[in-house]
Amino acid sequence: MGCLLGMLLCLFGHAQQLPITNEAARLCQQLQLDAAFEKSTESLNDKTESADAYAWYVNGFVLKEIYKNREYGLRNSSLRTAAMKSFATSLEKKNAQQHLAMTRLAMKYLASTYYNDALQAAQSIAEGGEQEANALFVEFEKWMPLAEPGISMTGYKKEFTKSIGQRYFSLWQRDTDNSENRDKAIAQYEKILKLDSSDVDAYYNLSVIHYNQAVFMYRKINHETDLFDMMTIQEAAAKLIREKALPLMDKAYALAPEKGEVVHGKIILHRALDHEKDVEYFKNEITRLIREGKIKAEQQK
Amino acid sequence: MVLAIRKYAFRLYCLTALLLSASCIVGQTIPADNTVAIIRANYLYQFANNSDWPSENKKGPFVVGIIGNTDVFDIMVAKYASKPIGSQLLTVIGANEVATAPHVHVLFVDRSKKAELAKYTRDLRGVSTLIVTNWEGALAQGAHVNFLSIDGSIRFEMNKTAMLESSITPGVKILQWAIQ
Repeated sequence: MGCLLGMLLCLFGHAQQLPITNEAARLCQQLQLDAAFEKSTESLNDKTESADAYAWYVNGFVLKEIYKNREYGLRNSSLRTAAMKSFATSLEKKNAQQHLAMTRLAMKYLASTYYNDALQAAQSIAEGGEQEANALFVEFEKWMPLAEPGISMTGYKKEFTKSIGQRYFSLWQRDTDNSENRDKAIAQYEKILKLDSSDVDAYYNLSVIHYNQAVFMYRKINHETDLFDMMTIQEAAAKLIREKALPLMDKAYALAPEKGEVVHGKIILHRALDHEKDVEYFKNEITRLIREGKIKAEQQK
Repeated sequence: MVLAIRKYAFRLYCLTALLLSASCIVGQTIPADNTVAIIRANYLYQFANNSDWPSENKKGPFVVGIIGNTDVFDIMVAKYASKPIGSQLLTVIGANEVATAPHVHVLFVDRSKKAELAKYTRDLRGVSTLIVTNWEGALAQGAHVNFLSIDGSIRFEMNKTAMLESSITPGVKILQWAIQ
């Protein structure tokens, strides 16, 4: 309840000027959140108090506390939205500077919850439904720069996009005959590469998708497969590995030649193309990396 | 002073909220399937199914021996064991059993056991065993069929004369797809 202690201390600083707002802060400190909200709403209807940034800050704070108590994890929480709007209004007031740091911190907290919710929504995307995750991320993108001006959003965007890509990849693994989710996963990783053309994970994951597509083709070969059909499947699968998966893994390797997963990926792909010498070379690389302590022994498979 | 205290309190919340974000991304796993072994195993089955052995070898199990390649062995067992080859059921055996088996119809010698090919060709002279290998120059060393890798695809070359000398007749499909 350190925040409430802060609220109380703040109350003394504004007692003369903003009695309704300070009463709201006091009620909030006593965890009488409904009463605090009522009082805070009253303060916003007061011409003098609503002109002060602090009144909006307290209103946002009370709403944030109610959100934390009652709607935390609720992705479409209207309390969170209302809290953010109050904080944003606080920033627009003439004396915003007096409460700037605290307002931004409160906004950063709420912006973070949007981000977390966006990631969680991304992990629960059902077939064809990433709208909720995207909408939450848009909220995060809208509020975070206000909470932390000058912040780079690229890293967050990449992580969020990877999360969606991972989800579509998982959906595809469940139904490998349905190429829609595979294509959506590919689209996500390609989007990451547009944001950052040196993202090793994106190259690696794209390579794995193409390789897996080939593996699923190989796995269908059995005693009922005609010789001609087998050779047709093999040609198509080998082409996929040779022309798509391997060049992408090569890019990942060029960026991260000592990353265990990437070197292991090179072994698997070259083995699939029967490149015996390359397989030996990268196996020796794994051995060297383990010897030099750069990767762990369990990565050698 | 007042602001500093509140700031501290909020900062704690911020950190708590942000902690969630980093752990959500999971890397994709790359399947360990040996796809070349899948193809070689299927070829061995195709050779068995599309060739003709002398009538005395059409009794009992149809035996495929695998030397020096556990992946091909495992896939043969998983996908093709007990499947019918004509009126026979396909059986897969390893190196130890090959030495004692009354008859082996198809014998795959992997390049990891290249040095052993001479022994097998000597022991199996005049016997209707189709010897299959996977390295350059193996036909000249006595193999009947040899796998080649072309742009990542597994193809095969064959010594038809040597097959006929072993009284094994390759079917049309085998002849059609062999590299000339």
